[in-house]
Amino acid sequence: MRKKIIFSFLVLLFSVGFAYAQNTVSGSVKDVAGQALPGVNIQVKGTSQGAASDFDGNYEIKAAVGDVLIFTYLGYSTKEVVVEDEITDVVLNEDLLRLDEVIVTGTSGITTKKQLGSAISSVSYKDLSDARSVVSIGEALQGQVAGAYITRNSGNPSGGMSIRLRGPSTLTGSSDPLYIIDGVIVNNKSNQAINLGGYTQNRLVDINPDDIERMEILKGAAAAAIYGSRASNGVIQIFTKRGASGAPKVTFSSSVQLSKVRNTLPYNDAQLAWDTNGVAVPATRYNYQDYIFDEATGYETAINVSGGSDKTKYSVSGSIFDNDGIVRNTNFNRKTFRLRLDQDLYSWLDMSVGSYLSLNESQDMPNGKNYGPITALLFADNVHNQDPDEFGNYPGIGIWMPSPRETIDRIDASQKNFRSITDVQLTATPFEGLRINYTFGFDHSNSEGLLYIPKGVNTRPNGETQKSTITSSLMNSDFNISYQFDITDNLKSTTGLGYSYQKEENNFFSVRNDQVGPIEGVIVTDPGTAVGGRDHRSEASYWGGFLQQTVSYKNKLFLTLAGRIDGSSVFGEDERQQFYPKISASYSISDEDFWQESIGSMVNSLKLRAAWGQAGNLTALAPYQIFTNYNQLNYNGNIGYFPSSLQGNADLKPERQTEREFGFDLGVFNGRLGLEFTYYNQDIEDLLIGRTLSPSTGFVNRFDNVGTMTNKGFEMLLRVKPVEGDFNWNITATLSQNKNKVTYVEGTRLALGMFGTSVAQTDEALGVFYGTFFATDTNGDRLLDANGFVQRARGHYVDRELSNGQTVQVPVQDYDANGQPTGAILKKIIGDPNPDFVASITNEFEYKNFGIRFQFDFVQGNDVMSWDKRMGYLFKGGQQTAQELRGEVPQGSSRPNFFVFESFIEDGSYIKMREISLYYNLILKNQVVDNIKFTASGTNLFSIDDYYGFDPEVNTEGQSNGVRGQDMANVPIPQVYKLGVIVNF
Amino acid sequence: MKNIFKLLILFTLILTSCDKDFLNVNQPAEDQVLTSKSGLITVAVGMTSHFTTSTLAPVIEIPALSTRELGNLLTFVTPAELVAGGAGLPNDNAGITRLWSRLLRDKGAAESILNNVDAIEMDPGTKSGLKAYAKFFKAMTLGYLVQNFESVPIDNNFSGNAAFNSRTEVLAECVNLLTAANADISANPISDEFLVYLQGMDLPNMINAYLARYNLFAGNYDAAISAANAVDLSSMSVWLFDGSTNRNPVFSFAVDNDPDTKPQDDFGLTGSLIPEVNDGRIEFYLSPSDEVEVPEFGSHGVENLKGFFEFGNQNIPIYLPGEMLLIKAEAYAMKNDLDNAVVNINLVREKNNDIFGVNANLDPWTGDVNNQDAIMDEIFRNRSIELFMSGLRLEDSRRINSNFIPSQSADYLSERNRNFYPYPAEERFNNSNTPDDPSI
Repeated sequence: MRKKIIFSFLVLLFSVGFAYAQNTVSGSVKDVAGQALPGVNIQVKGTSQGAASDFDGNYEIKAAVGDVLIFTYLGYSTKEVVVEDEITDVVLNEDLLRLDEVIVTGTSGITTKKQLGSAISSVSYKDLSDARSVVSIGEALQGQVAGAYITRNSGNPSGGMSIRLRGPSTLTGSSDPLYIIDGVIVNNKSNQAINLGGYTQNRLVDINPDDIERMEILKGAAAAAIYGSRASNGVIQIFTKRGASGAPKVTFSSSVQLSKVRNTLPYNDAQLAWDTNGVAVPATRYNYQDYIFDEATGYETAINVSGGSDKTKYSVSGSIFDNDGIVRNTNFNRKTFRLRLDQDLYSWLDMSVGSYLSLNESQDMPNGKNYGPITALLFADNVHNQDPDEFGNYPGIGIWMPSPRETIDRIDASQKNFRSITDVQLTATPFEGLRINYTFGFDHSNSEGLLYIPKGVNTRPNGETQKSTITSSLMNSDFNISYQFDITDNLKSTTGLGYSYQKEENNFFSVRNDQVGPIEGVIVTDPGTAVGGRDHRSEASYWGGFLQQTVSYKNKLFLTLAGRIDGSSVFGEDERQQFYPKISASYSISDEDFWQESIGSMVNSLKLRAAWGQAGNLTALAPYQIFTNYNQLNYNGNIGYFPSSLQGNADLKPERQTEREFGFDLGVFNGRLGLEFTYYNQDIEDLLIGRTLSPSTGFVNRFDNVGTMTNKGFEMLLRVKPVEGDFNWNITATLSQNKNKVTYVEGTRLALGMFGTSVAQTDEALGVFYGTFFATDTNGDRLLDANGFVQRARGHYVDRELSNGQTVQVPVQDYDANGQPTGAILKKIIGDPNPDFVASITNEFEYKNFGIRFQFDFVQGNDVMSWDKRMGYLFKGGQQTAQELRGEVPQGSSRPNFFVFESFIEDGSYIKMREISLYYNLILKNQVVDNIKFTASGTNLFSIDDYYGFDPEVNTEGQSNGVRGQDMANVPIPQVYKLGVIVNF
Repeated sequence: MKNIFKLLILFTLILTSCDKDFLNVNQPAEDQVLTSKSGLITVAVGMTSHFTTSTLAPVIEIPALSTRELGNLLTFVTPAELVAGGAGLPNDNAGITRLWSRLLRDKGAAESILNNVDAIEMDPGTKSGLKAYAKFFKAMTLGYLVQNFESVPIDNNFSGNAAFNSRTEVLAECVNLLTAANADISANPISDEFLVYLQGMDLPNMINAYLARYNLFAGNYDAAISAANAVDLSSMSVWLFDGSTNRNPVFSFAVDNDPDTKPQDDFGLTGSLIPEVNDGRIEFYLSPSDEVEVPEFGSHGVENLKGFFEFGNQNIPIYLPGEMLLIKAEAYAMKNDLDNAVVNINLVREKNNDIFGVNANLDPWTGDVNNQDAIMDEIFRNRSIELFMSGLRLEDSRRINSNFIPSQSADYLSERNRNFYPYPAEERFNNSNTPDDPSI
């Protein structure tokens, strides 16, 4: 009671300015179909008086007749209503173009999407399915963002994601966007703690996607220039859920899921083997995949409590996610806790504090280019029974790695991650129009990788233990001011000014033993007998300030100019300070009278926009690489230093992207159809390459800004509401096309990885495949050898001049007197992992409390190198040997394909049923429970493709920038069935 | 409100103490290493370590494959191209590239000591020791380069376009460096402080031994004889290997783990050059094996390697005393002082007290003591045996058997299948001063 009095007193004290006669206005907020809209923000214009609608869409606010109420709701057009009565009911129209949506990322201040000259995607939690199984933010975004190509690189339960916004923007760095969560620049690294064959997590997996309220996505330099040297890959700003004033709201959700392997690899099921005379004789062949893959279960439970008073708002959530992988003995377990507290300190000062904790553990298998069960599957002759004998000894399988079963049963590879993200934000609004914000963010992650191979594992009889830890801390301190004022009645000015300082610290430590004791269970790596290890520590800082000015005319014509000066400790002192300008304009032509009077009723809105800007990328250079560093060596007990092979270069600067974009936002048929279209053109210069040096420098290579690249493409987002009313039908479709071209790379060709098959080459797209190809005759038909088998092309190379004056060696086939290939073995570009286009269509049908949703994802025109197929040509467990054994193809005809890399270039195009889900919303509205939503979904149920292996949507080298579309012993993306329930109290 | 503003600004400043430069705590940068005495000493140790673990392997292996010291048992591209030789040997052969670039990196480290040592205060004996060792090291790396490549940059060029020098200029520079090294340490004897870092080495003798070697290559026969005479034959200088972090590199590529390259029968010598059956050096260097190369590489028989390479922790001599005797023999022979030439040949043939145990234990030579060619053949045979697997065979064969012109086509049988190697592609592509490749 006493507290209540004090509280009331405080309320009285702080609301003294508004204490003159006010009545209460109430009413309901509904959509066109008559559905109640809960959580609509209602504000009395010109005051800070606000309220929100409750679960039934009812609201109550202190206002007087004559006041103007502003109703804002995500996904709906903002409406201003003059209060004429104490009961004011309002109907809000859905805004498919979301031009009234508030955007804060990359803007001068808080602004609406309408004002922006560049295309910005915003995705709210409402756009994302709450029925589907998703592990990470990236997965949740698949199919939702025009201009984004999002791939899941591994089917492991904590599999990493790659997000490319408008194509890659670096050759040797990272093209993943900058992530900001509640103002904190967060770690999205994909560091390798232990070698799992190329697969790594990326740290975004620490975040539970259910905690997201909405995301703002800037896709290139034109929008992101004020984020400076870290922004050319785009920026994804994530806002987690916040509380609203009112009674506490509790949401409890729980789900169970079942994962299965969607498609297994063709294998040798001939039940035959070659005897010593090369005759096929009966044999037992095993399907190792039966043991490798298993049906896997998982569950997720989460609770969110939010609420608050006028001055204090909170949102607290906790979740547990536990999911087994489809590869036996793999698992991912994540626990998260989140708190967001908003407090009005004074009428002019707000404080917001957030904390995110995540603890997760994974059990992994070292697949890919390592020795794991799927890798062993590719190399093994499957005539070996892999079951252990009565003494628990596992038989070998005739190759240099243990059997899939032994690896699964005995090898222990795990990762543990602890993550904490904290932010403190102060926002001052000393007077109308001025907004000052200070944000301090701190992101700390601690990762631990453990490997234990017990003594006696086949082919590794001495066993191995390894422990690695990675500790990363990121800190940012941002000070932003925005000031809005009216120059004249029609002319408004918004000025943004900001300064940011960011510091990053990364530590890596590992220790390894290659002799373990015979007592199983003693798995600690004894540092006293370590045979290897590494200790590496680095620090870097980034700083920069920007000034952005927007001028608007009659709220329909907007012009923005901005510039940022940015620096980074990673670069040389003379090149540190970089300037990144931008300019953009937007014009809502449909707001003009002539438009409204003519075609306004048909074409409700049309906004034209254009933008130009520059931004940088500095991920290609690690701290201290501008120096010539010396490696420590030892000679008979004395410490020595010897120059590393990398020569320092103090003149390096960040890579720079210049982007132009043009587009329009079109709304027709009374807001029933909205279309966003953007064409963009990016020139990326000063690409950092570790170029080869002449050895007479005394070094092997040196970083230089010697590469250029372009991205050109368009992106389209279409939202349609063909049917509205009791029955609702929503269609959301995205279509993106990006043409990437490396326009200059020093040395014409740069090997990027995967045994030199992924390359960057002048005049080609990044990451094209380079390798041997089939010998063909002068007609272009396959040229077969004396046995009638395929063979590699041979001949010589000739120089061909490229558009930029560089020369490239192109192969010319030569033939001997018998017409057979002769000369050197030739290589050429044999494939391209970049798709021609990616698209996605989501259909949602709602009838009363029932809903059904399905999403198809399209990726078309990309190639994948299927190393799984290649191994089958040579190793006897492959389907190709089965065909030979059965006499379907001549004996020995498969093997030559192994040496022709062109033979395992596969079409990676697919149409995937990403999601099908349905729900029933049981509305109870009793004292305890508001509603219960029952959901059921299937994810990745089928894929329409012509692919040899498990799944074309994976990548052996994980989140690698240039190595894409490589498939070797990858864990395929599972099929997932999920049943869930969401209860709102 | 103003106070709160002040607080806010203060708060901002506290949290934003803007560090913009960070020290690399993992590795020292060049300016930290090259600016102090202790830094330069660590570079001396570092280049020794790098040379022994990384560079010595190609220095010995690559010419060994071109001159039949080593046979090739598998079909890996690098050795296969080298044992084939001829004009088809491509300039991106990984072995040639290793040989070229690692020697140049070592030479660069020696140059960085020489470029910086004068500016740093230190004990005169430490300075003279550092300078003399760096000069020896630079001369040695230049020497190994010019044994395999027709011309070589005397000085590395940090920014890319190093100028090339002729063989004559390079050998003259080697002699100059070693003469200067001798002068440094005779003016100021090496301090105890620096001697600690010359483990396994007797630097004055090493300098004279290499002075003898390069004077011989350069045709300065009197200087070669006097330098060889200055070498104390009972002194030992070795590269040290502990078998774990520093492993004997020849053991690694030619002995350990059933390797793809092994010594050919009879040290790769044929016809009249085949060693006498009771030559004690056969048992010293080789143990018999029945293994034979695949036919496409010439079907040579191979043996197992012993000598200085049987174990991972064996030390490798920096020079052998027998080389000094053979240098004298050759210098006298070339001066047409055939008597003294034969005297020195016989010192090698009859040697039974070699400090390293390389003892032929043979009778005096019974060939034609008045025939210079016959004497030179005997010198070549003894160099090939005595100095087996020391990286000298290509130089010796080209110098002594200079009339032989290697074939343009692949040749698995002749004494050598190249005179010099093509300049590696990395050099040609990035350095416009790279000369034309030798015709063979």
